[in-house]
Amino acid sequence: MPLYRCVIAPGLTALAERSRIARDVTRIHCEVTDALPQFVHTFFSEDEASELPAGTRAFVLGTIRAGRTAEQKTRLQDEMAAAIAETLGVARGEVSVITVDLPARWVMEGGDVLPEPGDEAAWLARHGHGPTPAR
Amino acid sequence: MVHYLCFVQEGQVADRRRDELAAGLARLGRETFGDTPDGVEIRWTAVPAGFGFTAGEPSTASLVVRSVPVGWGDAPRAAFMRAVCDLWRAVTGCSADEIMVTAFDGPLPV
Repeated sequence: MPLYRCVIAPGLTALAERSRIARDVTRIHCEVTDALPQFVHTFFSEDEASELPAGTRAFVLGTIRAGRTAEQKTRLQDEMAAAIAETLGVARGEVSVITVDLPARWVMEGGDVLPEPGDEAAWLARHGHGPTPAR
Repeated sequence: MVHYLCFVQEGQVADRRRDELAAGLARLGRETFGDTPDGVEIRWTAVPAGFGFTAGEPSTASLVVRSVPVGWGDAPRAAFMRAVCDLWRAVTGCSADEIMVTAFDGPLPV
């Protein structure tokens, strides 16, 4: 975790665009939350069922660990939407990014339950990642 | 009712060994939640090559989400997630970093 699921209008991306978006999503998430990049997942699908919200050409649902501040969530949404719009060559308003919180204790990754906010250092030390703050 | 959502990378080991993984998930569901043998619904999503990324690079990760009782305790929840991780690692040979498991309170958001 996090998992960012990106639904894009059909035909709008090739591998190069998806790669760039995945790198941007990872970079932004890590910059905003001090996460480790190896736990940032970005999965894409094309909107074959025409389920994108009206007026949008890309929709991103980010499932993130509970405990982020409102400011962090706003930054995630705003910075990712801007980066994706630039890559796709569409207006900023045509990209929608939302995040939903998931309690850390509901998720296991790296073979262990994710740490609660404030417990990251001990978790990372157990997993050989040193004192870097966690996601 | 969907009991499990599984995301795997198309063509990779977990995708090719779905039958074994499904049997293991069904067994864990029976043992843990009393699922009936023919009542377990597993919804698979194979992420095509070029559509799944981890750390901004092509992904080898699998994600499993299981609906669990609302308010389920932390200890049994952790034990169940660990059992799913162990199943995945045993069947696919993946590392601990390549399997993420979520035990989601209530019906899955499908």
